[in-house]
Amino acid sequence: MYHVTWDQNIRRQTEVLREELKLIGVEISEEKAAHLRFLAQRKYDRYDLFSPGETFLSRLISWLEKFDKEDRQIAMEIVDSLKFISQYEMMELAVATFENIRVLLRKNLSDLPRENWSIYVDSIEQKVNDELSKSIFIACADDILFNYLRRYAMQQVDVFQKDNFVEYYKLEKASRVDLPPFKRVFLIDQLSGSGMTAIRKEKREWKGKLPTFFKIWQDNLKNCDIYYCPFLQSSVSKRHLMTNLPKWSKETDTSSLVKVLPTCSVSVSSGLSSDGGITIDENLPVAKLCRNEKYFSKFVDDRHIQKGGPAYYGFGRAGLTLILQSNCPNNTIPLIWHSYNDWFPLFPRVAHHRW
Amino acid sequence: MVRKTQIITKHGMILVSFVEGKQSPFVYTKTDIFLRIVPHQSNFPAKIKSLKRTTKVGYKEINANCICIEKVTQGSLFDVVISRMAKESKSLLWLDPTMIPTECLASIFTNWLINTKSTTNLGLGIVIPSTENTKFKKDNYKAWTPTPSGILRKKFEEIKLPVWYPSLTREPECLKEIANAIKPFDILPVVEFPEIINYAAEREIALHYYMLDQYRTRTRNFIYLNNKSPAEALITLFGSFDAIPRTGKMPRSLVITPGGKPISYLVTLLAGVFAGGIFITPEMESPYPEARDTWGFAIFKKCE
Repeated sequence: MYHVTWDQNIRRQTEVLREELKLIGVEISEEKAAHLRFLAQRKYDRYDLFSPGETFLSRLISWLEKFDKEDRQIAMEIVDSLKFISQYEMMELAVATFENIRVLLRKNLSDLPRENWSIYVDSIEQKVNDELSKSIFIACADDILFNYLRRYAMQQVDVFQKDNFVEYYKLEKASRVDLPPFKRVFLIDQLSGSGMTAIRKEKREWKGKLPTFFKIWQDNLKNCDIYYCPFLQSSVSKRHLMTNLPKWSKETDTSSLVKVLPTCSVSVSSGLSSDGGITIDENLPVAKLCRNEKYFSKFVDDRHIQKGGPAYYGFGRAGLTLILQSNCPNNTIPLIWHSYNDWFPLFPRVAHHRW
Repeated sequence: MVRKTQIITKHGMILVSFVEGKQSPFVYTKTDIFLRIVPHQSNFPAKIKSLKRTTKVGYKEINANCICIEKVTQGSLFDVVISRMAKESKSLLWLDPTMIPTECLASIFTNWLINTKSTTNLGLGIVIPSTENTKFKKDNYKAWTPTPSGILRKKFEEIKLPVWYPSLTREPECLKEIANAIKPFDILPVVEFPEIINYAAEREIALHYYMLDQYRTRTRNFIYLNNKSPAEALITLFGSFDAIPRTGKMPRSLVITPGGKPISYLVTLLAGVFAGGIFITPEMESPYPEARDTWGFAIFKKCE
């Protein structure tokens, strides 16, 4: 009886993938095909919004077929630059966010005894824990594994009460009386792709999560330090927040300026940038493909997307090729996720903005 | 209160602290010593004297040969220094790992771990260099365990039921060869947690597809080391090492191949020493070949 070994099976799967791509006019090396097969099975197939049994590689062929034959090789470059954050990696992001906060508190300690190393080492963690007990953590989005973050934090240090963790920032005043005394707030968010969901000016009015949070919590924030902590922040969001937060603070006379403490930065996709992810290079083939009217005309700018300007490169021109296991962000280029006018998305997205 | 920055080893409880910065944040006492170790490959004091220090730590400075050399000559100056310092209260022994091979570094850490007690209060301070990514050697991988006076070599085939923690920053071909030689019972790849989402990182992990598929390594088994918070990275990694069943009728062997950036390398090496693991590294590889700058300091204190 013929027995197929694991490596023979892998080789066969890789060969079939190459052959299938070749049939639709896309050539990739054997090594690249092996890597793509591996990533598809290890990561991409776990996308939450795929139907049971549906695989990334089967969707890839259908997606590429939506492009004209001469554009498929360029579309394949988009696939080369995908970054998929799995649920497990998201858990690591939650852990790293809490640890970043601990590092920040350690750095900001001002009254440590410095007479000798032994006393210094003995006192540092005690003081960090004291500071942590005077902090509250507030979720600004779903999909941030907030319960996991809370359990991890409570396992690490035993100074927390459950009320140090608030599951959503829109919390009624009556419920806020139970909170422990605090002098520091950490607003935990998942992705700040353009920065506009956090803060934006619309018809002379400041909107977004941060102004809303201040409106709801204003009575609780006297002499309080506020930190906005997205797990992931794009370079576009960084620039947007750097410009808009001081303006907002000045115009609204907000007593404390919100400090931004991202866990990880996300640069512009490698397929769209020739300066290491700082800006979008409009002359790159992938950028031209994103703007190509043949494909972009199928995309419908809904009223949410329109707030970020033309969305060739994703909402707010973030230029990402980032996929989260739970959903695809709208800051990722729409060729990957939209399903308007019979377009077949590589990673279908469910919109959840409520502006 | 349980302080989670402590590690409980066979040789006592250790309080861990990493401090980022170019200057030590505390005042030196007269008994704090900077021990300048002559790299194992070279026994010439002239060479060690010419090495530039990136930062000044400790009150006094003493030159010493690597303990691996001294064990075959007249007895280790390192041991003499440790026993003298232990008589003083709250002394700190400083080391700079620059140019010291992994084997010697692990032996020095082991010497401190085994020969100090919580009552003597002799701490270990390590200057963490901030070099660019180390260019690791690609061949001559050997298995060894550190002892207080040098290393004990092991044959690959002697390692029973190895649970292997390879850094995925190592060359895929090298790791594949080691895997084929030791036939790991399980693989738990060590990955550096990125500060910036790198689109190429996806493909860097895919380079190891053959080994990861061959040994059915689950993505859940990946261990992420966050360079921004090395104390937690060390505690997490040590916790994972410590969870491996190493007694009983079918004991597993803890096997480690450190790699990555200077902090990840140090964290992995220290966790392996504290857990009493077997290392597989290229022979006489110096993870810190030249120090251009200092990232910060790691301080270890035995406590009760």
